[in-house]
Formats: sequence, structure tokens, C-alpha cells
Amino acid sequence: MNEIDEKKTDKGGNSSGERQDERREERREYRRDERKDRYGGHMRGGYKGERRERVEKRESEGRDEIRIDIKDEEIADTETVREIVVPGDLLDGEELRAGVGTYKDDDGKIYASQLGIKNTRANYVNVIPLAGRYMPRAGDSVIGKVVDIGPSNWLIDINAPYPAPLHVSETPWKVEFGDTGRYLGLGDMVLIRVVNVDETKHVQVSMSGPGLRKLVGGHIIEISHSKVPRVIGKGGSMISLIKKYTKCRMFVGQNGRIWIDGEPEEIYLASRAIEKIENEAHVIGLTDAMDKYLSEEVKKIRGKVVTEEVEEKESEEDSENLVEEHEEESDESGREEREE
Amino acid sequence: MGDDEIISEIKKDYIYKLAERNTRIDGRAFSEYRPIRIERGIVSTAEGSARVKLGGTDVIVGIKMEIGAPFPDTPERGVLTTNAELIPMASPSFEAGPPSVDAIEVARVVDRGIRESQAINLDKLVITKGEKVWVTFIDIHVLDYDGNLFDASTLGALSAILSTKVPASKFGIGEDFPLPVQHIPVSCTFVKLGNAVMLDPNLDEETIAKTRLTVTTNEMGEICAMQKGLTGSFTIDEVKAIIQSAKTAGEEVRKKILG
Amino acid sequence: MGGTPTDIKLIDENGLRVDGRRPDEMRPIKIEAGVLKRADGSAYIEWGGNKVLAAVYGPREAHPRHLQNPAKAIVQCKYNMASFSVGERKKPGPDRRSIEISKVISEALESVIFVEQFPRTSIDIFIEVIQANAGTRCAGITAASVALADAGIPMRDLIPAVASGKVAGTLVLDMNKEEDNYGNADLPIGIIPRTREIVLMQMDGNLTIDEFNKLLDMNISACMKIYELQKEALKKKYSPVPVETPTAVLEEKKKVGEEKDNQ
Repeated sequence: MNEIDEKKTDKGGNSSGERQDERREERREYRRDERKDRYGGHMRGGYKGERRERVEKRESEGRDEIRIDIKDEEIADTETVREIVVPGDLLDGEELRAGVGTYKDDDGKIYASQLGIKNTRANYVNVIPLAGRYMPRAGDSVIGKVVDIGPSNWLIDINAPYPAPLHVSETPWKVEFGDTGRYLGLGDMVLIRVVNVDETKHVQVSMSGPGLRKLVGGHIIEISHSKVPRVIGKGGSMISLIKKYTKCRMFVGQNGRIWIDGEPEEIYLASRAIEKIENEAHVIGLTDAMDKYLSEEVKKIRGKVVTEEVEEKESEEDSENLVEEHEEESDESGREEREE
Repeated sequence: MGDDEIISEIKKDYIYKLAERNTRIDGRAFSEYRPIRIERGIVSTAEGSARVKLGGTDVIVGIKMEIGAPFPDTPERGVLTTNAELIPMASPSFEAGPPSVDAIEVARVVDRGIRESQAINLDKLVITKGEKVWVTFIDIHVLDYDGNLFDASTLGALSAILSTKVPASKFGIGEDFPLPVQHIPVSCTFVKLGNAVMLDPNLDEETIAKTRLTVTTNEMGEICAMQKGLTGSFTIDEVKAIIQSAKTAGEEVRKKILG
Repeated sequence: MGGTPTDIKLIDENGLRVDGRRPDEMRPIKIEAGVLKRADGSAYIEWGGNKVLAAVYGPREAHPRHLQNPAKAIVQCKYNMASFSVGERKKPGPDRRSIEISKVISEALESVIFVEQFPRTSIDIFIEVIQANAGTRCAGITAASVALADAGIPMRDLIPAVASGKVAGTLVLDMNKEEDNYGNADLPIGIIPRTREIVLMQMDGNLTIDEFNKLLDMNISACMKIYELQKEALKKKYSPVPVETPTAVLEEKKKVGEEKDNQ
């Protein structure tokens, strides 16, 4: 395969030595850079706590519709009673503006367009969808699967209605024309970032960036992407809980794919925990329930498995950094701001 | 069968790794079935029907009885015919249209199990020798595909058959009577992953597996039908072990059908 | 469509129908959302003697590519009757009736789906009739709307539908099989509940304009009741008590329930 894979790998699937240092450096660089312009004039971070707006022209009727980036925290916050709405439900008469999951009809009123939870923020009314396929947005980190190989790119399935071509120039490798198969093969899973989605929904992705790479080892499960904020939790609380008990390394892609690495019993427990969260996302007090569930299940496992001190220093740091990434994402919705 | 979708290398490796440790991705033992739920008599327009949920696989089987001519070489036996529809709603990889090779294989394997075991006493389904006999249509309708259509369909067919009433009164030739059933064949499907052989593959296991064997046994432990599928191979010992497993597992499933 | 005299008394002396219903009474309806594992959205409906399953996949890449529309999603509905769904076994495969119904339902649903949000994709809807007793296309589109919402497809509204007609000279709502076979008119209608716009309508038989207007009113008010059932089915799925959990977490469900009681 490619050079990177030929290097010695440890249990966690990381390459050892230099590459590790490089990546740590890159990550620190990245956090410093995040406030600078990256993708041609778009900013990320720097405005913690502020709303970010996106104006999209609705092609068909030429109406302006303002879309709000819902903070992941709000979605994760299900500790209060929520109102479930279905398509066609009236949301508001006059004062508010149409947000996510809604539409404004000819009568000037705002209605729900999707099955979801009604949510009012600033002067927007939104519907946080409870279902629906993942629609890629610039800035999302996702886990993709290679489903086709071309001479200068790979076709990545990111669990969306649209495939995402990954061009060789968007990888850290120097790939010769036609040599693409040596670096990524069919079925390989990659951690990539969505760079851009244009009006016709053509998706551009990149594997150049800190932490982005081909995933090796572990297990991948898929959940509904609308449950991702719940699995991450407020400020990363839920996912930290799972990591704490299962000692697994995890990455949750915005597209609903989750990579888990650790001991098999622990991977199994982590995936059961995530399945439980997915099914009980609407239950009040879920975080506490999960805490209890995980601690009990872990007792059963540790009872019969000799505890291996899995964490070599490198893996530990890696885990921490991934957690931090998630906390940032929760705070800042993990999305890039775009003015259109 | 399996899905046309490309399976991720990570998932494949993970399943193989688990197999080496004698476990499966959903925590089952190698010889364990997923939860089975059977509902009988759910379609009133059919003479017999059943819905079977085998894990996430969901199948409805309907039995329709009509009067028709017997086959020329068996003038004193009723007619039995089995069809399977892998409808597009059951999986993104099922296409609309005439039955695919997979659909035909499922139908024929289920049919073989029922026919060769003589589950239905076709001799009792003659109306006028050489002219009119009862034609039994077994229609398998797959609603949700999550692996192992063979077992779910055979289970469904048997359960439906056991709830079938021959509609003689509808045709004015007497009173309705239960379809004469004399044997209970059960199919058990195994796949081989590496060196591990597992019963009742779920979707992932079925997609990855290179070799598959379905063994149908009756209540006396006799083998009535077998079908080896996919492109790999079994050793002789593996086949013998599978047959033993099929007998045991089959008996457990039979209790569910009758219970 | 009949009209020939039969032994069946379609309307009796008290004005009641074969199954005891009043002329403007619907059969009992039960709707459940999210019943299949693989499909993106699904719904199951029991409507009198009808049992119909609807499933949605999408938006997904449209295949074959020449069908792709660069400006919007294409909506493809396939209506099919299982061979055992009717009294006399139906040969598997689409017949002309199924193809026409598929088209009519596709078009009705397309009118409410925000298709321009998903260019180059396809939204595939499958309606499978497991057991039929007249009115399957209305049951089908009613279930399909719920399945679309269950799949998270953005829509203006759900589409309830019901058929009315004329039986032994009396205007009736929601005919069953016998009434449909021996009646004089059949009028299925599907609407956008909020605006009362008509998106599905077919008619065969014989009606005066006055009769048509009366039936139209009957249909529309019945549709509004069906609409409530559709909404309820969707909301029920996300009610505080989990409706259906996979066996893997069944034991945990009990524990969580106990904790909730203690809170």
C-alpha cells in the first residue's frame, strides 16, 4: 500500500515516532490558525457565542431565507420538554423569521417543513429535524468510504445524497497519475473535511489537514446524523463519558459515522452505548442514565478481563486531542461560516 | 447474496478479528439465531399467511389456493409452486423488475425444502384425478433485508402453511379443511468467515462471507435439502459439523414454529 | 365498477351500509410510523380491511443518470399489490392499473415536496399492498406521506386521501370492496390539508354536478380527520416513552424506566 501504512503501527493504529510529532505540531498550528482566513476569506472561531447567519436565495420563489447554524448544545439539550412538529404545522404568525426546517408560505406565515423539534432563537423560528439524510456543509469533519477509484481522484461515499470526489491534490501524498490505487483502495475509510458545497450540491472534500487521514483498525458504526449532537453531548459531555468508561478512542463524524478503537469488549460496549443513545435521544435525564449504564456494564467486563494498561503515552495524547476537537466543535457548531 | 454496497475494510477486519475470538459483531455465539418473531394469519385475503422477523429481516409469506390442472407426470398429486419477491423497499440494492437470480434462488431453496420433505401431503389435494387438483401458491414477500433470507422465508412459509385452510367452500366443492401438513422442515443457513462457521448471518456477515451452506432438516433429523452458495469452499469436516448443527438448531426453531 | 342488481343490500332500511356504517362514516384507521429498518422512512397503515406498507429511500443519487434533473430531485413512486393481497391471486409484477396509480401518486406527492433542495437526486417511494379491500391508493398515499416525513424529506404538508362514491343511489364515504364493486361512482381525492388544495383526484362512474359537490365536501372533511391521524402517528414515535427498542437494549429500557419513576 502506501508509505504511511508501511511504517510500524502500534495497537491504536497510529504510526509511530516522527509522524506522531508532526501531527501534534500540525494540530497546534491549526488551533493557532483557526482565527485566520483559511479557505479564501472564510473565518472560523473568534466569535464564540455569537450567531452565525447564512443567507440563501431560494431559487424557485426568489425568497430570501435565513438559515441559522443551530448550536450543537441546543440539540444536545433535551432536558426540557420539547414540542414536536410535523410538516405543515403552523409555527408563527408575524414576528419571527423562517429558520432551518421551515418555510414561509404565500400567506406570510411560517410553517414546519420537516418532522422535528420546534426551536426559537433570537428572532428566528427553527425546526431541528429528527430525521433526514446528511447534507454536507463546508467545515464538517466526516468519515467517508472509498467506493470508486479514478486515475487522479477517488470517489468517497460520505453517507449523503451526493458523492464526494477526493482529488489527489487534496491529500498529503504525492500521487502519480494512475497510481491512486496504491494509496487508497475500495472500502478504505477516511477522515476528511468538507471544503465546499456549491449551489448544484457538488461536494468538494479534502484530506489535507490536521488529524485527517485514512482510518486503520477499530470499528465503524453508523447512526442517524441528526443524533450526532446527542452522542457528542453538551460541550462533549456524552462522548467523554463513553470514552472514560470504555477507554476507547473515538471519532464522531458529522455524517453519522463513528469510528471506535479499543479492546473488542470495550468497542462492543461503546457501540451498544451509542445505539442506546440513538434510541433514547428524546429521553429526559439520558446523561445520568448513560453514566449508570456504562459503569455497570464496565464492571461486568473488568470482572472477567485482565485490565490492560492500553494507554501508551502517544495514544493517550491522541485521545485527548480528539476530545478537545469535539469540545470546540460543540461550542462553535463545527461549521465554517460562509457569506453567500 | 449480500448487499451490492462496498463494505468498509475496517468493518471487515473487525468482524474477522472477532471471529478469531469466537464472537460476532452483535455479541451472538456462532450457533445462535437472532431473535425470532412469528405472527400467523395476518392476511385475511390469503388462505394462509405468516410474518416472520429474524433479527432485522422481515418477511411476509402468503398462501393462495386455486384449482388447476395437475402436472402430466403426476396426475394424482396437487401442484405446489413457490415465488419470492425481493421488493425494492427491503434494501437499496433490490431493484424493481422481474425476480433477480437471488430471488429465484431463495424461492427454489424454500420450495425444495417443503417439496422434498413432503411437508404438504399433495396426494390429499386431488379433486378429480388427472383433471383438477388444488394448486398451492407460496408467495414470499421480503419487506426488510438484514441477512439470511433463506431461513426467514422457510420459517415464514412453514408458519403460513400451518395456518392455511383449503377454501373448498369458495369453489362449491365441499367444506373448508386445513391444508394437510405431515412434516416440518426447517432450514439453517451458515456462512464461513476465515475459519469460523456461523449460523444465521446478519447483513454484514452475509456481505463479507465467501461461502454459505443452507441445510434443511425435518423433525426426524433427516436431511431434505441443501444448498451451497457463493464462491468459496467447505472442507468435508466443516460440512459434517454444519449438518449436525443444523439438526440441533433446526429442532429449536421447530419448537418456535409449533409453539 | 358495477351497477348491476345484486343480492347484497348495499343500503338497508335504516340507511346503514353492509358493514353497519352510516353513509358518511369512515372505516377504522391505524397508522404507525417508522416500521422498517433499512428504508430511510416508512409507515404502515391498517384501514378497514386494507393493510398497506409504504417506504421511502432518498434523497439518493438518481439512477440511471439520464433521469437526473440538474435543478431538482425526481420523485418516483411505485405502487404494487402483493399476489396474496386479493381474493384471486394476482400474478406478481406491475400491471397497467398499478402503473397508473404509481404515476398519479408520484405527481400528487411531488406537489408538496421541496424538490429543488435536492438537485440531481431521486426520492423513491414504495407502496406495497399486503391486503386489499378497496381504497388502496388512498391508503397508499396517506401512508406514503407519513413515510416521507419519517424520512425527514422537507414538505409543505402531509397528504391525506380518501375515496367517496355512490352506492344504490346514496352518496357514501370510504367504500369497502363490495360497495366499490357494485357502486355507481368512485371518487378518490387527496388534498393539502392547510390550503384545501386538491393534488390527487380521479373519478369514474356517473355523478351529477350537485352530487359531485356534495362528495367533494364529504371527502375534504374526512381528509382533515385523517390528517390528524397522520400527525399523531409521527409524533407518537418520539413520545417520552420509547415505543420500540431493539432487543439489544431491552433490559436497559426497564432500568431507565425504573429510574424515571424514581425521579
